[in-house]
Amino acid sequence: MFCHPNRLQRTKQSPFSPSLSLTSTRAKSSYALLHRQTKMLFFSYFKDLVGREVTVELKNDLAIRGTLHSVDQYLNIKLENTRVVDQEKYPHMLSVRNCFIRGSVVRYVQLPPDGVDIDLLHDATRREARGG
Amino acid sequence: MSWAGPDDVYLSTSLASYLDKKLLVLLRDGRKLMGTLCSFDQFANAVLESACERVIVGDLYCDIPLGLYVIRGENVVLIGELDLEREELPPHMTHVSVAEIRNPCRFSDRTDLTFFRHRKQRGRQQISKVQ
Repeated sequence: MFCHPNRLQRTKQSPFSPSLSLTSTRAKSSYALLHRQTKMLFFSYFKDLVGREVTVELKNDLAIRGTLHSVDQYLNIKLENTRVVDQEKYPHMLSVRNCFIRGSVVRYVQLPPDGVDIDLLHDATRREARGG
Repeated sequence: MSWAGPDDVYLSTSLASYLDKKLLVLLRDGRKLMGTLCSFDQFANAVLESACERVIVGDLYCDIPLGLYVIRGENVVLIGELDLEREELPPHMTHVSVAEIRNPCRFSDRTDLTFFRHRKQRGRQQISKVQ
């Protein structure tokens, strides 16, 4: 589900209305205001991709394939079970199996084709464009 | 580093799991540093103990000891945990001395070229210091 993991729990506990749809709308806007959801779209998206196999291409042309372990608000990425795409060109990376990649050096994150729920993504993008 | 909610504890992208481990740090200028992580912060600044720079030229490599290093986070590309059970380098690579690596016969790409210019300058500075 493409949303903050705590959002649904928060709506259930809300004292204002028993209806899930009403509180979810209110929770959405209050969540956006309080927690600046407007800047967290990609962070949330990558959190949903944790556990998937991705290929991260860096600005220095190094491409690393691995399982997405975690991501943070700077879009720093931690990969596990890493393999460098062109291993011969990067012999020093031979024994590296887990790595931390600074967000500022990422050029692309290549995703599995079934890793994208297009409708959900469109929805979240429109919401973020509106300001939450 | 990130807002760690109760569910995010296991998702944390902090370098804490790399503390006291032998790491390979790739820098933006193409240098490869190896050492033990002593500390870090939210900018990925890092302190490496027993750091050495692994210089690779074609099939030749050399480790230049550096001691205690503080790395500014903006220069960090990647921090990789070296698996001690695996070979760090392919078997066809040969270890050479520092002097040999400074005068290679061949080089493969622009990164190495930058390295040579840089090393030549540092080499001259070191020689003048000794004298």
